[in-house]
Amino acid sequence: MKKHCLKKYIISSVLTAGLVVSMFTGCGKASGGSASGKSSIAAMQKNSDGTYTVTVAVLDGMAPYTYTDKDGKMQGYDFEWMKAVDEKLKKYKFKYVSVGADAAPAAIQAGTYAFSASAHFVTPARAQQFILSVPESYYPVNLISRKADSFKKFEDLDGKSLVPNPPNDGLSVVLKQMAAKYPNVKYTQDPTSEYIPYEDGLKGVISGKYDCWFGGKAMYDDIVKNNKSEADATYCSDPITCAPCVAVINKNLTDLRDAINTATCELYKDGTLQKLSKKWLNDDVFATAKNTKTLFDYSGYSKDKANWYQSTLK
Amino acid sequence: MSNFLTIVKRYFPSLLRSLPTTFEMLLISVVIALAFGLLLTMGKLSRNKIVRAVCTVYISFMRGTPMMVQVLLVFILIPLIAFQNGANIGSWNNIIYAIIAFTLNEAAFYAEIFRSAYNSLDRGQIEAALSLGMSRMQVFTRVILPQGAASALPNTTNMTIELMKNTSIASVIGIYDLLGQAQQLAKNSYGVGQIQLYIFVALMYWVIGLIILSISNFATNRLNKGNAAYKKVSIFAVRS
Amino acid sequence: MFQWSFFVESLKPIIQCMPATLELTAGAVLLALALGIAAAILVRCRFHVVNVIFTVVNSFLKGIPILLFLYLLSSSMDGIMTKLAVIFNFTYNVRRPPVFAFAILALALSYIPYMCDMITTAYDTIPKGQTEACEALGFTKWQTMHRIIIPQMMVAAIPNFGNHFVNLLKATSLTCMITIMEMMGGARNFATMNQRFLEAYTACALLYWVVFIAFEKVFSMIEKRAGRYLSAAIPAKKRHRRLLMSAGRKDEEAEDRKVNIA
Repeated sequence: MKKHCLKKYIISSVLTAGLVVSMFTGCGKASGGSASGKSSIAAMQKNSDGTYTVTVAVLDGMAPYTYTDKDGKMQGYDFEWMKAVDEKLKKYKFKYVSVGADAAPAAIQAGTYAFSASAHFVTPARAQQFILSVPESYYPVNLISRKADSFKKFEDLDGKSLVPNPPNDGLSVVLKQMAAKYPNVKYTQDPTSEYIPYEDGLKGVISGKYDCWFGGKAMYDDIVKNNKSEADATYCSDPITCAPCVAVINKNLTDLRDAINTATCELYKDGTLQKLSKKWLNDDVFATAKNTKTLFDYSGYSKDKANWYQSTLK
Repeated sequence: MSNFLTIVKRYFPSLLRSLPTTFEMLLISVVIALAFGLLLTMGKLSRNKIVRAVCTVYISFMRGTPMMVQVLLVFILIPLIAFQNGANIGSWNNIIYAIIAFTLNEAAFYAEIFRSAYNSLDRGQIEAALSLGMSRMQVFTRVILPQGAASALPNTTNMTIELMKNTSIASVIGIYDLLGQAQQLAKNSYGVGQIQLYIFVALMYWVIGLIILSISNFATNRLNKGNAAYKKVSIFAVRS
Repeated sequence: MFQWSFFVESLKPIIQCMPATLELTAGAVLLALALGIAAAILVRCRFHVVNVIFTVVNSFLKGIPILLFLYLLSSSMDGIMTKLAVIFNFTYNVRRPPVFAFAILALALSYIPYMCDMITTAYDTIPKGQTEACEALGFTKWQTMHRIIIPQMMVAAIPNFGNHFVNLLKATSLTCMITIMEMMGGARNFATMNQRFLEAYTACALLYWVVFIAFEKVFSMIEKRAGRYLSAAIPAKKRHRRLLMSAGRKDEEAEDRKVNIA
């Protein structure tokens, strides 16, 4: 009697699972066939006057890029950028919704939101699952090493070991780009599949486990501000390169992406982005990018260059 | 202590503003889950093997997976499926996904409670009512429901209070219920006074739970009026 | 939309985090049980004041969401631990707090009232006559507890205990919000790294379900074995009647047997 019940239980679970699975794979086939330029999803609503209302995810807690202050008002560099783009685009009206940083990417994939921008790096996973815009800001990358070494240039890393970056991290991508630019610099980096906490990385550099940390000054300042001994033991160089930060857009919204790209290039050319950068990020990151020769070619942008980031990931 | 009171005074208005969200989620989920749970119980007790099997698997899945995973799955799956079938749900607020997830989850727990309550009923009464010529619907509303409700109510209240505590999980998908609002306030003030804030929010949750418990004690007393073997419970009794 | 390759790929990192989940659950259950026993004794204490205080404390602990417990402890423990470190003279690293221990403490605290309820209801199911008989026979308090009361209590408590155990298992998924790498955290990590959320969370849900069913079966087996002394081929009422009857009532016994077969 009991074996009979167990068998029925197993059969019914398998049947239910099979139903659920076939629903998914059936949906997959349908989507593969139809939507390659589809632009009507939950996040993009067509209005009666021909314009589109676009639901935008504003990640909260990501100061100074996007965050909500104590009165509930949204603020930040990326938020102001989105507002500036909204003004330029007559066809699209942005509706801003505050979301947690964990749930936002899944919702953008599902179509609940159209895009989000909050200092997102270009990573292989993002490039596969979403479409990315042109860079709307840059994240300066510095070399953090022991005071005795004080590395200032990428060439100094020849023969040294670096704090591991996981392969799907934006900094990994930038590191590979630099390595391609300087083929004679042979550094070693242990493979890892997880993020190493910044603090552990710094401690590893101080203790001699690694020679250098390929990271950002903001993170460095954050760790050492309460710890003078660590500040004295290490040296943070000037930016040697900049990681581009992009907007992550739902895969089906190619028209929106083109519109955002054009608007961003215009905003760069008339100086709005540089002003915003000085206001929110305490520095003109575009000038830093220019100095490190990583600035995107905004003037020479045209629609066929929309997939600019794919070449950087090879 | 005065420190505690000043912090409470500063944050109380914004916390109060987020209470309706919590109550909205709780009430709508409970009402729909009660109905859906009843359907599930009837499904599980039915004579049709397939219906029984599907209900069993559903209840086992909902009881066996954590609430957070269920909320995230609902949040991702429903737009995907709706988008595939061309449905327009662009104007749905995130709270609808949370309510759907809570309803589906609670219904499974309620179904188990209702099933054990139904099994504890006196079979003889139901058979007598049927032999008197009452229709199945009449048997249900006049015999099964009053007694079943009386015996199921304590456990149902416990599950409802659990749900009230679990609504805090909705903060993962960006819904500012009581706990989500407290988190925002703590983050925006860089952690100053957050311990007092959290303790105050804990007290608020406790008070809400006590109110629900009192209502349930009152209702249990009323429902058990015809039951000779039932000892009256004071409204303020905290089941210990 | 749903890609099987990612689903299969996500199983491995989640399964690797399973030991952490089980550790959290076991630690929290044992701590909650220990403190719950203490709370149960205090709730049934002879002094009315102690009763009332601990009933109120129980009710308070029952009414707080687990997520709130986790946030409260993770934000307040730093302050408390640094003060304790000064008093007890051990080093406390503010940068690397033992989050795991805090999570176990938070989970245990939130489940103390349930354990307490379970123990008091189990204790109430045992007739007072047994304690009195033990006293009459000259058992010490410890012998009474150890040989008579506790074995019977365990049988009555096991269904509830199994329930609380699996609920605690599911509650450990909330600890990913304070950066603990258990099954949910592993799924989230994989999802963020590969930007594939649906597959990771589905895999996580299925693995939790499998673990849940396994523990359910284990506890139902324990229930059956522990309750073996209570079961009998003959219902209890009839057993008692037989004991009370003397050897002469052979006809009634034969009749009972006939009824049983029919």
